[in-house]
Amino acid sequence: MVPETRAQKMLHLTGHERTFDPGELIVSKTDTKGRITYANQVFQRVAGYTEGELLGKAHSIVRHPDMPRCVFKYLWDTLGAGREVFAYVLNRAKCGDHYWVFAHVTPTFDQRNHIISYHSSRRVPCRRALSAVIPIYQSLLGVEKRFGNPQDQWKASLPVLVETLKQSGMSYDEFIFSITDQGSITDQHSGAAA
Amino acid sequence: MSEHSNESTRPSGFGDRNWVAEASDVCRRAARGDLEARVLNIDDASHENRDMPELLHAINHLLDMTDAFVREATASLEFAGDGKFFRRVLLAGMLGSFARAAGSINAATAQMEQEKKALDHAHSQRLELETDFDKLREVVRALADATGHIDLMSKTMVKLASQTSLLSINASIEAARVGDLGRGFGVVASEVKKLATQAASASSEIQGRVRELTGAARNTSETIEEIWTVIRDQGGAQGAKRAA
Repeated sequence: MVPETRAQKMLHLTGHERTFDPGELIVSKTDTKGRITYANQVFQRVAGYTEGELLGKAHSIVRHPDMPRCVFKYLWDTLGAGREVFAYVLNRAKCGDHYWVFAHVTPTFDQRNHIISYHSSRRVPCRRALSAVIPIYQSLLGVEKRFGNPQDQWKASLPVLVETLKQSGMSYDEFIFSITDQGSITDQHSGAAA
Repeated sequence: MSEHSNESTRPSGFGDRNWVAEASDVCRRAARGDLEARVLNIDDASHENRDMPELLHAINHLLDMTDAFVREATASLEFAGDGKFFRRVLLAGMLGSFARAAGSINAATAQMEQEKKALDHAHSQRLELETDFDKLREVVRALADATGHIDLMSKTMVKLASQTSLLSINASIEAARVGDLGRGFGVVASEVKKLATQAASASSEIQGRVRELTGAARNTSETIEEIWTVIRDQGGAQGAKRAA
């Protein structure tokens, strides 16, 4: 219990939410160990880090303590299996602000089909999706809080996530797409551009 | 963790990088389909030309948008190829021709989904038809069995009638032999003979009708089996098309 709580307490949070333009993408690339090899300007601006501060760091540099660990466990397992993964993720900016993203993470393969890196494009999430996701994350966090070390946490919460999906009768991907408005953001954006 | 410090990530010799050569290299790699290429550590270096960072960021941005589109389009088409149509290209963040191409892919996916649904519907209807038709086969088979049985019974009836007729002739002869005393019995015997004749003609009429019925049942059965073969073959073809 001790190390995690201490680490969480060390993270300063302002409670202030940041956002970015619906026409923008936060883009980053990591090596197979999750170390950042590329971070675009939008990432730098929203997360509040310079490029130099991000390159070579673990992607968990933007991890927010209110994100359930099992979501990342699922994310990395799926990527490791060579499949794309979508996730609604709460991130923490350097100053302690937070921002929600709809992340699409994909493995990059070499000619021989080996995974050589990961790529993440993050979009502004629609509110409808967040209102569906937040209660689920809260219940997962509730389970995780009963345990001290990260491994025990996701081991306890992952079955809860699986059960939640089972009750919805959908696969993880289908669930994500069912709560995601497709096109409304672009309509809004192209409307503004016209 | 010391993740907030910003030392140690600066590349050595960053001050004297040849930005034009790096940018050209990134563009050439991208043109060869290597969408991993990006210009890195742009802001860490001093630039002689103040517009240079802007150009380098613009190159990265172009690559980011192209990379995102290619990943999205690939994923959506791979899913659709796998029969999963919910995975549409995300339109958020896609502009201009990227958005139009994404829209086209999504429209095609929607079309594929509808065709798949129509095919599935036709398949379930065919399965229902198959079940109903199988029941019909049973009924026709039972009908053929029943007519065969009646045919057998009518043969027995014809035989019984002829035996009864023979018996009545014998009875008439016996009655004649006892003279006047047998007259009443003779009348009964001749009545029995009339009845036996009627029974014989009714039985052979039944037998004729039953033969017609048996023939019709056999023809129906054969036709039904032919249609059944066609239905089964179609099922195989449709199943193959659905699996494809």
